[in-house]
Amino acid sequence: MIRIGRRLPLVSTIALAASCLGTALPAHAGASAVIGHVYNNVFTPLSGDASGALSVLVSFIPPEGRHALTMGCWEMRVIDKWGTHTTTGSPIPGDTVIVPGGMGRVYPWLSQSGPNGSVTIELDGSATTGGKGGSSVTPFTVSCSTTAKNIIVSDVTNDSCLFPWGLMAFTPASPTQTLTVEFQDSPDPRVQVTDKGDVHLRLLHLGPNGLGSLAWSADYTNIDLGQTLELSLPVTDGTTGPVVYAPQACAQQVDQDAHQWYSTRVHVRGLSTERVEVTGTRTMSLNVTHTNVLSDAAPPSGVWVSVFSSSPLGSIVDGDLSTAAGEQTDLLTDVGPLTASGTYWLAVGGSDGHGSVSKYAGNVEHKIAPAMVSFTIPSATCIAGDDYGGGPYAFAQARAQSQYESLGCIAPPSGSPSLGCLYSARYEYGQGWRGGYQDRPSKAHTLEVLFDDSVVTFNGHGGPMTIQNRENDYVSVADVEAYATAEGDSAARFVLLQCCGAGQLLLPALRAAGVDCVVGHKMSTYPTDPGWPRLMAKMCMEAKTAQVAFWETYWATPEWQMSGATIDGDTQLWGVPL
Amino acid sequence: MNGWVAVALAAFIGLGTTAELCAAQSGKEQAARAAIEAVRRAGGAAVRVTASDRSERGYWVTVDDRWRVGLASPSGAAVLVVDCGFSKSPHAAHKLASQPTPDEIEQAGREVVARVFPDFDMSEFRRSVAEIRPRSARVEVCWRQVIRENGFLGGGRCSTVFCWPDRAVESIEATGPAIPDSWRRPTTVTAEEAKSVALPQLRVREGEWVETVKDFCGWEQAARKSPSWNVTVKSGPEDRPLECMSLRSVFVDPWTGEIIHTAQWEGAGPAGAEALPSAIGGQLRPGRPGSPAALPTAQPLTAGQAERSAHGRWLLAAGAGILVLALAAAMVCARRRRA
Repeated sequence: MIRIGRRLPLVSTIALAASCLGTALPAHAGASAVIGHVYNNVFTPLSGDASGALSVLVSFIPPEGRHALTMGCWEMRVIDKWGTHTTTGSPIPGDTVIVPGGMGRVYPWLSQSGPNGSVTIELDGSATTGGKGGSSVTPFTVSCSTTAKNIIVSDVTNDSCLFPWGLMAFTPASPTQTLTVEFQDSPDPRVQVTDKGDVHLRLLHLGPNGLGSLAWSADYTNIDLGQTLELSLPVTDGTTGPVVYAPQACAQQVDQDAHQWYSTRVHVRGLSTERVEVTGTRTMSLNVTHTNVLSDAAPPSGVWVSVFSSSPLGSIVDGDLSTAAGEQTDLLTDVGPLTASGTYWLAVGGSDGHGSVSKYAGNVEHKIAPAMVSFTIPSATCIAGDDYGGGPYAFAQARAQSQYESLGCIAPPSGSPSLGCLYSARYEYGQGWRGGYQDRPSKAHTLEVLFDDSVVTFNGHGGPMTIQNRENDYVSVADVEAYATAEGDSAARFVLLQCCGAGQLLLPALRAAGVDCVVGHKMSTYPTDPGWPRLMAKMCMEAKTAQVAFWETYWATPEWQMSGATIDGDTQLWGVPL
Repeated sequence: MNGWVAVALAAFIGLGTTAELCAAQSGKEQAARAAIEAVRRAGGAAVRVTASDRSERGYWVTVDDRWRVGLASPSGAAVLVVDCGFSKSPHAAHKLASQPTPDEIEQAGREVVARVFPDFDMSEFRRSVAEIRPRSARVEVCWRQVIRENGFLGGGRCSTVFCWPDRAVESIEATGPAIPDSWRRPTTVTAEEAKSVALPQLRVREGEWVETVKDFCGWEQAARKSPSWNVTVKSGPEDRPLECMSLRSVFVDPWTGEIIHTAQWEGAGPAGAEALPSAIGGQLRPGRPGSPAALPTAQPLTAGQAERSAHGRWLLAAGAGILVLALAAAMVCARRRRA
């Protein structure tokens, strides 16, 4: 692109046009400019894309019969996609070079200090010529164009299963991942000198406002950045639990497009989520609130949301969010099934640059730095104890399975759908599923459940001091007391002991250990006891507190009056916040 | 003629329905009044009845959206009062200054029962539990009705959980059906005789032992509800009964030696294939439908049961006949009007 200055004489314009049509050096009278590089005091015009430290040669060929006395430029304007960047001087410092038939000056231009893409450089200057009639001053404006392509971070990948979302996850089962980063750069036109620069790789914590503090880094200084560079290195995370990071890469010799892996022009802030309602078994809908911060008028090409389970690690659901600027609230439906209790991550990211407005060189898209929040699903375990002789006990199994199903969709009080709730199984890396429906779990497992899970039901045989979870490995009052002494209070909110006798001594022991509410039977009860399904229905489907549900069941169930059904404490299954 | 019959029938049915409605309304109001009074005696404000429901057992009334009161049918007397808001009340934060003894708990409990149920006769009730509930200032005391003449249990139950410092009631239940004279007779079947009657049914296996106690068989599935010897097979250390589990029981009439009920308790032995009720509707089937059958719990109909059953069938037939007559009369009237 050539701009012709108003002050240029016609002859200069013709010469400049000729130079810009492919002439390597100016051969006609007038002023011209060309981009190239100087090596060993030789200026070589640029061939291909601009990259690295370059120069602009401004030449002036005086008209025939005259000779150049002096020349110089006082203003240099670099026009790129982000605007015009002006340098002024009296004149601007530049080296004088010999141009056949005239005079020239070389002005340095660091292509990497601007963005990639189309760049036009305009210079205003003047030349003094001598000859017949004395000296005269000829003002000129010259321009030249090129395409800048400095180093860009072209790809950041890892081998965790969250790589497709641009995230990097570690679990105790996979504490080491490999981070691979690819940089691309145009070759430096000065062939003898390679691009050198610094590269920084980062893993960053994520929060509701995007990238957070540094979790891990690797730095490379003065390394070759010419053309394509790929760095692959193992990353080991020292944390014991599941954790997710945002991988970030940046290089020192970079431009505004590619200072880093993520877009610098779109950010997501203020991410939060809340449950709208439980819509099915262990499935719910969420409201996702986020603020899109845009540094220009063009919205990003896409903003997505994804929900991940941390244990086991995996994607649950994806969706698209509003791309408009400012605070937005979007409904995310069918979030589920959330089969595991514990932490879930809700991440929001996106891409920027697509569309008619080219924000980045080559119309490429850049990822939007992700923001992330987490929410928690409470845990429940429904145990089937053993039958006489240690074998499976079919009635207890059926009851436990039914109870676990009921706990997957807790109805809210009328008019408050967001207070619906659900309970899921526990999962631990290295141990697998530790909650949910459990058939004849060990004493250690049962005690762990009674102290860690929110809701626990036991179905099977029992006595005043013992529940028969697994033959020769029963849980007794003494076990509960010892566990409480060693591990502290139970986190359980509700325990149902659907067995004989445990209401006498085990129930008070569990209450003493900190369980919010326990229901049990002081005397013998039948395998076909009709009370427990009534209790579960009232608590899970009718949003009744444990006290109300228990006493309504007690009143309506003669078997419970005979079995000495009892309750201590109170709780509710609905309304557990995310 | 047929028209007059139809009119008479309709009037009869209509009058009957109205009378039933009036009686129901009156019963509901009586239940509401009784519930309010019971809650006030228990210490509640009892401003208004917020819900009520009628079932076979009687009325179930909610007062102030907080208290639940059960009123037995047909007496209409309050037998169960529960403060379902107790855990959120100031009483829940009360602390015990000192630990009361079981005797002190029982004495205070009797005073609470007398306050809430002033007409309830506790003369034949013997304490079975008196203890402090963990992590609270609440105490629990339970009594069983014991027949004075023979030491067997009656069908009555009484229990209460209340705040020790201020005697605020969390729950209280008192049912004491009158003991028939026939239950006050000296029993004629000894414990050993009852055990020998029960043993063939109990199929005691290695490592199990048998306990025979005076009890009351009130299970719905029993042939009749009455005092009985409870012969139970247990597992676990015989010298440490609290660590033992009840497996199977046979209830033996202490006067006739008749088995009135057999029961296989929770988890005690191979499961049967009987369908389980489900919390989410429908029926559940146990996971192993092919497992061996359970102990027999169903007994042959007694003479009384057979009589009741025949009576019921006669009533059903009579009701169906009346219904058919009424429908026929209505159809005849309708045809004549059209004609």
